[in-house]
Amino acid sequence: MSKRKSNFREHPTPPSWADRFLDWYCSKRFLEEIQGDLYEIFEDTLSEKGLKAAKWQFIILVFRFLKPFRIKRLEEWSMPYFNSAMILHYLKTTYRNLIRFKGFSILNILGLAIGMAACILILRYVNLEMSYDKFHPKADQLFRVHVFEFDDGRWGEEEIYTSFALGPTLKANLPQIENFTRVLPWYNAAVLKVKDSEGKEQTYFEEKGLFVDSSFLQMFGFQMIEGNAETALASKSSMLLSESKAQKYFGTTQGLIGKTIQFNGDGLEKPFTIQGIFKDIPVNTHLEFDLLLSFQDVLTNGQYSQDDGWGWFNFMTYIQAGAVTDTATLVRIAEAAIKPHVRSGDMGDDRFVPKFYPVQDIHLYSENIGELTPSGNAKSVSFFVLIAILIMVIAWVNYINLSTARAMERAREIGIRKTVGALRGQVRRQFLFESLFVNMLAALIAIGLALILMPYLSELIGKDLYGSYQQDNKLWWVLAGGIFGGALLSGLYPAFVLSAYKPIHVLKGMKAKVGKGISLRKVLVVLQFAASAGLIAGTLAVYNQTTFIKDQDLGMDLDQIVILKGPRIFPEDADKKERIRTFKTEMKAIPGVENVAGAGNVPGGSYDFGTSIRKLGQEASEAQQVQIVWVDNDFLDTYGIELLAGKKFSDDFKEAGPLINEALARKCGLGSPDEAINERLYVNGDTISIFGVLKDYSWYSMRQAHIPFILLPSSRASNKLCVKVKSQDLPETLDKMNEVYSSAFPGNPFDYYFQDEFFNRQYQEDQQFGSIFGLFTGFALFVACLGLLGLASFSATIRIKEIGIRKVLGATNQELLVLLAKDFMLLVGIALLIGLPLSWWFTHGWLQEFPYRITLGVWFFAAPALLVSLIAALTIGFRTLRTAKMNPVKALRYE
Amino acid sequence: MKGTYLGEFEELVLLAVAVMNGEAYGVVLVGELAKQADRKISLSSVHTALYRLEKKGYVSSSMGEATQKRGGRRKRLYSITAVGHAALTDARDMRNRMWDLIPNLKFGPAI
Repeated sequence: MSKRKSNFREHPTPPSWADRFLDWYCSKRFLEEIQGDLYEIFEDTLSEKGLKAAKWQFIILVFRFLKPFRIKRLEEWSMPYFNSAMILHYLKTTYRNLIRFKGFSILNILGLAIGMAACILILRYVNLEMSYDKFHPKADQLFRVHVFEFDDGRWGEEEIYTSFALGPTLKANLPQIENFTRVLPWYNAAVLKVKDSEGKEQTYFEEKGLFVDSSFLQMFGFQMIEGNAETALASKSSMLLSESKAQKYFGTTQGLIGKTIQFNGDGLEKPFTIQGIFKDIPVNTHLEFDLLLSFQDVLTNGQYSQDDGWGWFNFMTYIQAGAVTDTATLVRIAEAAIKPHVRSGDMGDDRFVPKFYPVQDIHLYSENIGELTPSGNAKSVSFFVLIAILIMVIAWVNYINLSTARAMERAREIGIRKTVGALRGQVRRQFLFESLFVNMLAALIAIGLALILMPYLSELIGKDLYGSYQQDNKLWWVLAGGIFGGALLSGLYPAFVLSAYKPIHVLKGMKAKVGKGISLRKVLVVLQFAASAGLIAGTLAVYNQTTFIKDQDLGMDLDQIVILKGPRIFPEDADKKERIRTFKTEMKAIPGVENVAGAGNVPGGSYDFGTSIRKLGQEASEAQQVQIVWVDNDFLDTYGIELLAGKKFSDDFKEAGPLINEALARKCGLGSPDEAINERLYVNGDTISIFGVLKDYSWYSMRQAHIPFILLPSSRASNKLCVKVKSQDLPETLDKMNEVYSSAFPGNPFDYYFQDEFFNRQYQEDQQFGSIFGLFTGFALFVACLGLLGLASFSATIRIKEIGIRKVLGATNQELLVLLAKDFMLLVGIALLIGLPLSWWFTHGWLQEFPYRITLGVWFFAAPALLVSLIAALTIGFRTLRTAKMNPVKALRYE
Repeated sequence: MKGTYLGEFEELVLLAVAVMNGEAYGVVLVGELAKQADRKISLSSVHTALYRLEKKGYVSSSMGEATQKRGGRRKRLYSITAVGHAALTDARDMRNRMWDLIPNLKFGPAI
């Protein structure tokens, strides 16, 4: 044990933190002498005045030495990632490198840009879908009341349509509810008679209207241009128009308050006074309307005036509740409040259980088919986000691959840098900088690309992506952060690999071996192609499924059927039945018209009413839900629906009765069609006998299985007039139809649309999904190809000498091609083996949603495999062919 | 000297440097000044003054030896330059001149 050591251990030292502080701020020029002096003084003071004084003095002095001129100069500060002096140099180098390898640079940047553009577009779409109904100022206080009905021993479905007494009852019994409003969508189209600016009377058919309580405008955030939101709907017979409707009717939005419009629809026929104009409603709300009418009028109308408010279920009820913390208690109280009003069914155990559904969730999560606008699908949305991420990952993987592949060509540069004194960290920094730069450049291009493509995507989806919706800015920050992070990450690998090059190896000219083994690069290419193959398979499946569904036998023929909107206005003394009959006869006289039928609703639309039904003699618990539509005697023929048992309606309707479909027969256990004829059904207290049994037809899209359906006879069914045409000259036939219509039903506008188009609208969602999916698959495949192209180029360059020698020794171009391509095709093969089974798994799951689905046969695997192999072969072939064709002399001279 | 101002404190430090004759550095200067001028001066002001003096060219410096007491760090030794000497002389001469200009107090109370 030396004296020194013991000295050290016992001897006090100046406070280390102060010492370190000095170290930190003080410039090297002064540090040593100052520190030395400070130590010396410390020792002196220590022996004179003791430790405490010495320490204190030291600290004070450290701070007194802190003067601007002593602080470190800029270059003395060690900045972790940023060295301002070098940036300019890095920029220059990056630029020169990009220019030098134009091909690669373009590939790289393009790939990244496409990936980012895809992300931006998808994000816009996701933003839109998620922004539904968020713009209302009271958005998170708004709920819609849904009910579950427990009736006859069974739970029904979640109903979004409720009774009109529900709202007031809930408000009366639950103090948390501040306000409520009822919404009654127009049952059918209405006819409006408007005196336009010139005083002429015009008639318009309108369908998108709602009857609402006066509280509607206060609860929801729809803006008024003219009129007062508080009072606009307060009085009876008030009407509000949207801006565009006002323009359409009057050519202006000014001075319209007080004017009247004659309204004829839904059993009402009276003038309404315009009390306000509202701004056209934005796309991102689940409600859809052009006109609002006051609710009071509804209750005086025929079918509701006799009701106590609990019979009819046609109303949507919305509530505004401030702080809903305990929904369970709320629901209990609500149920108790409703209970006294519930009509008990046969078993007397009916329950009405309400559910408070947040309005903001309706668009994405509500799957009820009764919604006013097609719902988005939360699953689809999350799915697209996944795809976006996938594409981005592929793009970055590309970048990594291409960068490391190019390492060879930059080896000399790196070698010299290191020799001249660059530290490994600095070289790393250089490549990180390059990566960031390239990514930023790609991002700029991506924004441009996205802007260009946005209108196309909008068309594809059918929604306007351009508008200024309330952006969830968080998502954009996440995207930016993600891109930045990804840029860094994808730059890390090349940075580390490239900076590891030993100068001596490089300058001697030793080249890296072309790995025959498993390198990260190969793994990445395999992943890229696996993803692409999987996506292609998926796209094919989606496309096939959608076409399959559309081509399915619907059980009826929807082609060549024109739907006319039925007359709403009849002269006072008219015999409606007679008029309709005459109309039909005259229509059938038109050369191009094959048949005419009247109905309450048409396929692809809705149903007239629904109820529960069961076989006579069955238990109440076995009742089924059934949908009912009124049709006349020509309906079956017009649509080509097959009658399996029983008879059609007679022309005078003396012989007529309910026609059920097979599904109803099955579900109610009625046996075969011939057996079913003899059975009787029990509906709402009435017993009815079955008039006929129809072959199953798909009233709605084939996305659903067949539901029990009844067609009831009505000689006056004229809500919709279905005309089967078989004409060479459709416009002429339509003209003639117009004439007949106008003479039979004066005062009613002639409005028509095509049954098949109308029906196919239901497939819109799936089609959009398919289109978008396909589009992005294209992206992914393109990016993957870019990657492969780069890799093939690199490989060819590396093996230039080898190719040259082989050629000299007599290899043909084909042999060379095969040689070079062999390795890659093997990779592609592995990719297919990985990607396709995964894709199969996902697609299979998706298909389970459909009651009618395709089988994933051989084509599911074969087609993508072929496609991918072909593309890969072409890509590789093109590049290697160029190398193979090269003059071997040139190759061998290359040194 | 034109344009180079020698502050009172700086002059003191310069004098002290001259006195120590090439052995001057921060710590001992503090001690010397405390002894001669009876002032408690902080090390940092001395260092600053020395820095300024060197910039003006009145002193020159070089690194000296390291000792254990200083934690193994070398000291910076300062010595006065000819210019510095001249500056000191100028300052003293100026003061003497002014002293001489003070009116003769022969007829006042004896000093």
